[in-house]
Amino acid sequence: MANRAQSQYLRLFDESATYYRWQNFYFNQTVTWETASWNYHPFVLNAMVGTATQAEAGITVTIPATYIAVNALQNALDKNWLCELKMYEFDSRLSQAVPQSGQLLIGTFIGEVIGIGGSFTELDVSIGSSLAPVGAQVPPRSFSSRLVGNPIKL
Amino acid sequence: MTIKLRISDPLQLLPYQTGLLKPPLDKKAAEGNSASNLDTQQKAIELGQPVPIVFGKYVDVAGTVEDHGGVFISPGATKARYENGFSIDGTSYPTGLKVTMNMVLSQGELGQIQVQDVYQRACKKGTAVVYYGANAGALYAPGNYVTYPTLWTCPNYCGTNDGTYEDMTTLWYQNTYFEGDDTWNRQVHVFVRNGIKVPRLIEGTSGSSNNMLDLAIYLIRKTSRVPELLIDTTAMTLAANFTATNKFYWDGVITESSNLEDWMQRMAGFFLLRVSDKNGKKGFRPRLPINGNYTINTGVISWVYGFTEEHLLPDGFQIEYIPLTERKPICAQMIWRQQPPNDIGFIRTTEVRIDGEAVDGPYEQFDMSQFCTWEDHAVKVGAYEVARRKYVTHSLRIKVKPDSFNTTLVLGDIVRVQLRRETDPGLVTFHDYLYEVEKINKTVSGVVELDLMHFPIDSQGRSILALYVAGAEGTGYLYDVGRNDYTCDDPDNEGNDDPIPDDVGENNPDEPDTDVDLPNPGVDDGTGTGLPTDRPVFPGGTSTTGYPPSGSPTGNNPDDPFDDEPGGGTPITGIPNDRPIQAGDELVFAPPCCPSEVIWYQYDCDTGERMQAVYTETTSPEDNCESRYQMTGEVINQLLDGGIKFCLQGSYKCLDPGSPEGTGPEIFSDPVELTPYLPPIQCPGAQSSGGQGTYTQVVDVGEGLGTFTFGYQAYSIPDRFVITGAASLDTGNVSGSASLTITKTSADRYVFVTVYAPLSGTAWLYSVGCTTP
Repeated sequence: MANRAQSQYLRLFDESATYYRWQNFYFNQTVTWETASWNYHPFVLNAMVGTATQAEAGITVTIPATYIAVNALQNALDKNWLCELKMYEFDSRLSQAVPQSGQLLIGTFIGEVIGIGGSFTELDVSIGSSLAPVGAQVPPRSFSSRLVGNPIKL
Repeated sequence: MTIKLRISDPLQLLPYQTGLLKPPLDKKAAEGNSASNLDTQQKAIELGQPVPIVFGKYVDVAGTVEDHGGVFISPGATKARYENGFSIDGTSYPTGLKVTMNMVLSQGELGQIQVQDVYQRACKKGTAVVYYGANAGALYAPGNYVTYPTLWTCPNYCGTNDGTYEDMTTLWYQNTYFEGDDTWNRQVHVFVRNGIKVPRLIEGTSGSSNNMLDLAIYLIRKTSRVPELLIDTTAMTLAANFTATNKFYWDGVITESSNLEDWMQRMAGFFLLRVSDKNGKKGFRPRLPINGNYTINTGVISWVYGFTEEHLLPDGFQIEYIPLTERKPICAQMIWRQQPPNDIGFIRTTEVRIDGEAVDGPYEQFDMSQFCTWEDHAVKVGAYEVARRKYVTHSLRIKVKPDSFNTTLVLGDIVRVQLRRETDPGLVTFHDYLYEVEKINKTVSGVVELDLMHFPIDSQGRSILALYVAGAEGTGYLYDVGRNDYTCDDPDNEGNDDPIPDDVGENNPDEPDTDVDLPNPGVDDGTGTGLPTDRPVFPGGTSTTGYPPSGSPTGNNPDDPFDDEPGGGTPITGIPNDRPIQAGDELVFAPPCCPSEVIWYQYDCDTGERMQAVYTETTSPEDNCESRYQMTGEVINQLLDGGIKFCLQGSYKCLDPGSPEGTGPEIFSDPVELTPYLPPIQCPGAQSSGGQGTYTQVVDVGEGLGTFTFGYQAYSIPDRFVITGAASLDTGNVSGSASLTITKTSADRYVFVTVYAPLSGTAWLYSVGCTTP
């Protein structure tokens, strides 16, 4: 267990582009992984939960409220960007300078940025599904004046 | 301050979260029993009602009685026309009634509808046209055009031609009624053999489907609440194959609004699936082990990883048994819908119990009649429910150190947990069961927390639940429909499997616009969105713009009165304004609180230094809440000796019984400057001179009673000389010179000589001698 180290990677993207790639392990470095550059950003992902249940269908990332982070996350919320988190495991006795090619993917999560809150210095970002757990959503439409005009009274 | 709430996730909830246990249901009439109200008044559509979704597919298993599927619906009307007169085969019926009506069948595009599938009451009759995306049939003027109102009491508000009918399948229906026929206002029903066309997971094409997974994806997409990337299509396709292979079909209509998550969770249970959020993606997965061909796996179950004490961390084992209320044997009363070919479906119940158990109940109702038209489906779900009560006994939560499973173990995997128990001397037992992985929590510290649900197996290593479900089959008995009179069917309709026309649809060409597209309220700031964005700019303003002229963010804020120093009370009063202060003058200070402790201080106006206290008093209502300080000659002399400007300052302390001292903080008034004095001049030889103005000079004439000399020179322009203090003199306006002997009125040392010289060009001079006893 002592030989295991974890690195986490966060990506903000939508169908057309990736806007931010951050990693939290290689201090003050931009590293290359999966043919892309990942900037250092000290976010904290305490746990990655996979569940076959309806509960806990989301995770929370804590992130310093830097100008870049605030801007990026506000955009993510405004524009429905997706957030992908990946957790890797590698042997800490080997290189810690750059991502090891043989590091193992032990967890991945993808979701929408559904909520941001916190303080002036730190933000808690909720990542999950925007499918509301309350409220009626099906059938998705109801009869309206536009659809059926002024209907008959029987 | 940020408050972070951490809600615990008790293990007791796991069976409920996984859908294994469900909240108790109310016993009530079957949901899918719409055909029980055949002979009712025609329904009208009401604005705000959900647009129904008709989903399903009639399957005709040729040569068998295993036909199933299809949906019998009772659509609401949107408009109608009532008029007298029609002819049949050349015979005219002028008093007869012709009714033309439009209805909405479903959201989406329905598959083909046959002539024989349109009913009024229980009778196959009338003429119909169906259309998708517009109002079916050619435009007509809706309304009541009846000319024999005593014979036919038809509605007066008959709807309009408005409406886009976008993405909806509509029906035009016309029928005629002879005089005396009171069925003209009865409900029209349609048996939909082919529900809405949707993209189908298994076939890969679009068309009518009876696969619940196709419906689930359709609803997820239509709600527009979940991005496409967050739909686990792989899991959905696997689940779709599982339900199709095991003949779990969905044939029904959704008319009641509900929450999508709740709907998926409820449906998952009825299809032996569970909702899954794997890697953040929504999906379903089977509750039972399956083979490669998606059949239920009744063979030996192998586990992918084994956990022992070696893996477990301290305090890393928690077990929770399913409560007794969820374990008691029950008889599952499964409600489903028998769908005969070419007729109205009706509700059936099948009771499922483990042989010999719950013979007289308790009964638990599982209403699948909204969508289930296949008895085996209902029976297999019932088998799962009764078997899981008997055999699924507990759940586990274990904390383990990371190991090779970290990269391989996924949700739904079967694991074995074998833990050695040595609680009795000489007796070693094992907790040794198979489990299904329900939750994996990987932490930054490396610790992995697993939530596991008991996976019961028999002595041969086979899943007990799978065995029960796979072996469960319906009785196959189909009830007779219970109808012997079909004479009300129109012979042209009965048995007519021609499709009703679907090539006519017309909307009002002058469709009114009921949508409001909000105009851009601001200026496009060039971000490419065409809309203003929240980028505030606060220029410096003017007194009329609302912005502070400085542009300061706090420039418009009102002062907070509580941030200011408390007021020093009313200013010190009683200071003479026409002469210097002198002994006997009474100064008054009134603090804002009463009673209060008041202290009078000497104050150096030049340095701002508060000096000694000269008087202390506690105010009271009897004294009008004022402190009065009488100026003494001693104080004046001290001040004059020091040669300072003569200022006084008052302070007060309001009473505060809650403080240790019994008073509040000491609060100071603004200092008041008394008439400034020139430094005293000494006798003998004390003299002063000047020009236009008013001047006061203190002269030290020495102590004691007696007289002193006072000589003045006013020249030609008159001046006035006034002496106060230890002597008294007022020359009035005088010219020229004089030498006077003044008798002192007190023994004080100082006299105050004030010269009033108001006229321009004047000059004056005076001298003062010492006291002579």
